[in-house]
Amino acid sequence: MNTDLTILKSRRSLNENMLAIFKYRELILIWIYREIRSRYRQSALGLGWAIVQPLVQIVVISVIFGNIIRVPTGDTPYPVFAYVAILPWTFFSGAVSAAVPSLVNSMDLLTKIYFPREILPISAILARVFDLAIAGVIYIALITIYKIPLFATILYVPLIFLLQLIFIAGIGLLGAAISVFLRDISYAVPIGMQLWMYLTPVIYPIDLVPEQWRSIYMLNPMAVYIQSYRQVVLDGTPPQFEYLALAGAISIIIFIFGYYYFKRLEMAMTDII
Amino acid sequence: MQTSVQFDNVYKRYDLGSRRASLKYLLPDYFFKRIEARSTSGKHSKNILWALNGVTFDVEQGEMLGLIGPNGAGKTTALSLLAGIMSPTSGEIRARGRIGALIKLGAGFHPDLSGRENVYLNGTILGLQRKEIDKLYDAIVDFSELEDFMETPVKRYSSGMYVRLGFSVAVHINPDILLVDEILSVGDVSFQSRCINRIGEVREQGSTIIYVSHNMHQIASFCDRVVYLNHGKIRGIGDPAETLTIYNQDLMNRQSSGTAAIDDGSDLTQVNGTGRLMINNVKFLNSKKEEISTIRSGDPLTLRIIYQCKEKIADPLVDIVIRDAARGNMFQATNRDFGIEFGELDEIGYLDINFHYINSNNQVLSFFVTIWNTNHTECYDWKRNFKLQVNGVPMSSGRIMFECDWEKGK
Repeated sequence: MNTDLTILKSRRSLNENMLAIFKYRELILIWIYREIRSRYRQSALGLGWAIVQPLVQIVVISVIFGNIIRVPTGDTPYPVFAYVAILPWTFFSGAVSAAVPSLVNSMDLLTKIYFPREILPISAILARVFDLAIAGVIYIALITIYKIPLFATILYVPLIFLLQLIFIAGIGLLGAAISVFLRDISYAVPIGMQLWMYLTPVIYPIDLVPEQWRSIYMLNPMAVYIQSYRQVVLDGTPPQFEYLALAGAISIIIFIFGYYYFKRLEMAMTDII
Repeated sequence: MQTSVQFDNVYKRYDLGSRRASLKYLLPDYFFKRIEARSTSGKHSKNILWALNGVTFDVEQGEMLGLIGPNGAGKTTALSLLAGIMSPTSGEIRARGRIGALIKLGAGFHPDLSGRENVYLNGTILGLQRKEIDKLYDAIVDFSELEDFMETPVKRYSSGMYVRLGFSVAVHINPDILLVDEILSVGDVSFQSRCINRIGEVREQGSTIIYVSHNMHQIASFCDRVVYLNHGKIRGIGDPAETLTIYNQDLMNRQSSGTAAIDDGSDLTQVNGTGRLMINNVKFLNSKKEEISTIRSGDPLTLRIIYQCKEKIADPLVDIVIRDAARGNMFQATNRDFGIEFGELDEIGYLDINFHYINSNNQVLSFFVTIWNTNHTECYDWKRNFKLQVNGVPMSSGRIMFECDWEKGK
């Protein structure tokens, strides 16, 4: 054996951590696979749920806010207007809700074997990309039905998505680590998500937010991302870069803090079970 | 020889229970340290358990080290630290190479996944790439004898199947260091023996093995060296025979101190029968008629019953029972079973029962003495729980050391 005697340590640099995650990439794939499979395996409709859920949502919301309350959306038909936001929002809330309890749900595993713990919340989040992709099929159907033109600005979508993903990862890691010590977090997430949705222009246009509140309102990265998706997909205008930069910066800071905090708590997790 | 594992003054603390203790993990370090300073000095200190309390030892490459100790001694904690599941409160652990851990049952299986998927999950967690697992997969399944169950979710597995698969994965990934925690007590005998053989093979490949067990026989027969942990400290380390001797002695002391103070007749002043004859004392004597409380297995023993009669008594029936730790009678006989009658007794005297040799092995024996009238209808007195410690062959796990000769034939 040529390897050296190495110190088993819990504190590693960010670089070393990233390297470890890369080393465990296949584990992430297996976990994503497991997440998706265990979610749909024992249901009769199986993968159909990934379609049915957003479909019902969009129909209900369209009827209430498009036909009854009549939220003003300009030229855009309400279902398209809402769906372009519901899609990334559902991804956000679904991914965070899956990431937060991911460690607690696998406590049995954590106490028996070591692997970088962030793999659990990260896999939980990535597994939701799969749902997002399936729900995206409905979107393609919608824009075909309503004959929405395709704008070149749609190329901004990957950038916005990446920033959103970083934001989700930060929140997810933070929430997952805390929930090991405070199980209450898992109960608070659904309520929090509901409130958060009303602070984000998902079912209403951003124009309804009074101008003087706009700059505070836009401190919410999700508000920026949702608004940006809408602009690049439906309006054909580029996103407002000053807001996008701010949201991106907040996201990256939250991610770094969340990841750092997660790694700090990682070793203490098994102590308290 | 190269060092494979090093424990360097390792401490591990658990904060037991309190919600405050768990909350403090959430706080940043500077604040955390302040709270800690206060809580260790104050009333919280009783909620702190030092599972490992300054443990230092080395394991050589290719060595099989046994880890023994009573429950809660810190054995599993030591393995968990080595497996990287927890980190030490202070001190350092160094290790060389890949660690395959079998901490408790079914190390790292997910109940919803099938056996096959779990082999991949487990293998990946242990640091293998999928291609490597592909190569090992057949051998793993063969060894576990679970061919027919590989597509079944492991939540439907029996505990034995769970262990078989877990063990199978761990020993086939060719770990540099294999940690085995008490798992061989599960599973049927044929699987156990295959496990032991497989551990032998892993060992021949040069892997280091750390083996936790309560089965002293296995520890004695397989391990090169033994670490005996007690209350988080190393109580004994080194040659299995020496370490097991210390362990056995502690075990016996604990047993005798644990049951001695009972008021069921061990109080010698109390008379438990009609009292026409009273047993004043019971003593253990060696061949030189000196009083003893410990003998070596195979030594002769005299049991002396000192009595006092209030009236004339002839031909009493003396009943002797010898029990070992919790397993019931190992000897019960009366003088008549040996065709002996004592005749008329003196007012004060003693009866000696001479055992040619006590061949019990590593046991604390309890002696019970009852004296009846000659018709076995009236109990004069009984006294109980006279304890004799018998030290035997430290490496032997048997209860009795029969005298035997060993020879070769053709």
